[in-house]
Amino acid sequence: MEFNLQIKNQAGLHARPAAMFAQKASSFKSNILIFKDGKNGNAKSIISIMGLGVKKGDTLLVKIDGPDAAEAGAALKKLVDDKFGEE
Amino acid sequence: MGKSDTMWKIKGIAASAGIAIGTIVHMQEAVHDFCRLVDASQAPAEKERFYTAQQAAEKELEILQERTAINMGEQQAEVFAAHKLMVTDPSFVEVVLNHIDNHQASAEAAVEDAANEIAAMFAGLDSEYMQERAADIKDIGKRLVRILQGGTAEVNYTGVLAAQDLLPSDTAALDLNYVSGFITALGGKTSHSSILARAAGIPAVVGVGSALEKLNNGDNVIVDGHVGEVLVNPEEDILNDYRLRIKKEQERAALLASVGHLPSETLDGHHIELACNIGTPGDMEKVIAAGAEGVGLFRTEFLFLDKTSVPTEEEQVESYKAVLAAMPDKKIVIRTLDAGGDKQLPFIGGLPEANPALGLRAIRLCMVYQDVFKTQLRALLRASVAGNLHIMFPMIATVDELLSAKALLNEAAKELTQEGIPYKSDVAVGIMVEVPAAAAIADILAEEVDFFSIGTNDLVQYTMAADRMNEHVAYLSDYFQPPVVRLIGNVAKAAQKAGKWVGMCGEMAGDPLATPLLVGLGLTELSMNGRAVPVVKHRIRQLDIKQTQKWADDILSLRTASDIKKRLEEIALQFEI
Repeated sequence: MEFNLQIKNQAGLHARPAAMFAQKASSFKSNILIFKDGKNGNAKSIISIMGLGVKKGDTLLVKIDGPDAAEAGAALKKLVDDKFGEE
Repeated sequence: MGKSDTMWKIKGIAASAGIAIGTIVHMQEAVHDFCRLVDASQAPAEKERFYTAQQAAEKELEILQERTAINMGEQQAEVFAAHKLMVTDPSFVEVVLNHIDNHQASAEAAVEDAANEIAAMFAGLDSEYMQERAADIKDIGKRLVRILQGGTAEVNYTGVLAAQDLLPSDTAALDLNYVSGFITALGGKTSHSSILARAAGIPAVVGVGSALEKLNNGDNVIVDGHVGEVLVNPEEDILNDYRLRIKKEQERAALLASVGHLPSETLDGHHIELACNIGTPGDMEKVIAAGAEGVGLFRTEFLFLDKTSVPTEEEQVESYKAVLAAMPDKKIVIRTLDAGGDKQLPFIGGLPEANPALGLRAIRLCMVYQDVFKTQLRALLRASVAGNLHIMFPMIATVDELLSAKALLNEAAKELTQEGIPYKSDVAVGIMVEVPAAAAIADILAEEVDFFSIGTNDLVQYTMAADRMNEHVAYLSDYFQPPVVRLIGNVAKAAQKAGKWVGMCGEMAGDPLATPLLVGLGLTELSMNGRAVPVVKHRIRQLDIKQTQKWADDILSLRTASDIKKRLEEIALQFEI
């Protein structure tokens, strides 16, 4: 599956949000890739997420392939929609 | 020993306050001399070595995280949680394995190269934050190489530690009981080592550059973390001066810690309320820890700035309630939106102004965008049930402005009544006095408000007609300028006459030098940065109201800012701190 995600939290995908995103992604078996501005990264890797330099307001393309793709997609969407629990 | 015994100085960045006296000990940079190339048949063995080292590193980091949490707090420990994630990060591991598989690299070489490659990628992203992450990944590389080489984590140094840079792993592995100060060639105020030094209360001077190499092991030094200076081979009389300063600092720290939750009361029993200025609900923890009695200024801009749309009423209610509920029986002064000028709202837009400070901002902007303003007022009223809310309007210059703001507040209240939504009907309403116009008609405004809070930063800027960001007119930007002091006096007098309380939420409120003057002028509430609370409280506890009134009368007749400062410095001499 493929979908777009707009990052709404203040800090973007830095530090804590990047770690939360990677940990959430890692809890699924599926392969999860994220794309931004022609660059892509492994969603299970905090290093590769931070390397994309995702800021507030940026839109990511997420591609998920695997047995639990639907659950993974829903979980990541929720994390982003909840702004990673930020104020 | 040094070339000579004459004293010399090194200038650096003041990274962690305090003074340390001791002898220099250079940190041993571990030199890892490992074999970089291995035969292709070794690849599986090298991978196995890498995995084993990875596990050991995870374990080390776990211990470091725990130990740091206990010694320095959870926040400092988070660095190591992040490192743990990076050690096992799939991208990192992929690069390491690729080097072993395709470049005949030993585990050490693969780890080092992978860390350097990723660090270079981070360093290329331009933000200070990412530069720090580059340091993190290099640190992980070093840790793994050390483990692969069979090294241990524990290192002990006694004295003032000199190093190129202190990586988080270095500072956490140190037994800090024996380290009295840090000097580093690299780093800035926000680098890991500086943050950790501050958390551990160890004086540090960073960014001294190549001067570090001129220090020899065993050199006597004074590390002055207040000004960012290192004195090498200090003379005996200078040493004695600094020993005295250390002793005074220790006494001062002990005293301020003891003031903690004592009442903020003058010797003759007058209560002066000490509150804090905050910017987000998250700041409330610090307010309580500071021993403050409430909030004298909650800036609500955080809800509005950097937003593409107006924050909803619900969103606002939640934030206001969070602050009120944190100290439900204490006074919480919430300032309505102070935007415009240099704080533009993206969802309002607006034309660029020739003089933003004199333009459509704060209450003026709110009265143009009344729907945005009314939403905030409704949210404030709805939140009022959670505590002791005081609403404060910024930038009021005329009675008309105040009356129309109050009328809108009444309208919001009426709506809530009609909708059957609960709110407190007796919420106190006040204004921020920051325009000289308001100070001039304080007696008239006092009839229409429950309180005044003087905002000194803008009051100085507008009274002296001096942009506070313009260094050429910095000499005018001084709250001890007689016109500013006299306006404060006028406002206090007008408020007292009308039976209303008057406070201050500008920078001056947290300056202990100003405390006797402000109390003498009749202010009964001072709102400041949390860090200033203990010092100001201690000063208040040494004041006698009658005496401060005499001082204030005397100061009102002085002719220049430097005369006023000099007089206050004389007065300050008689206080313990």
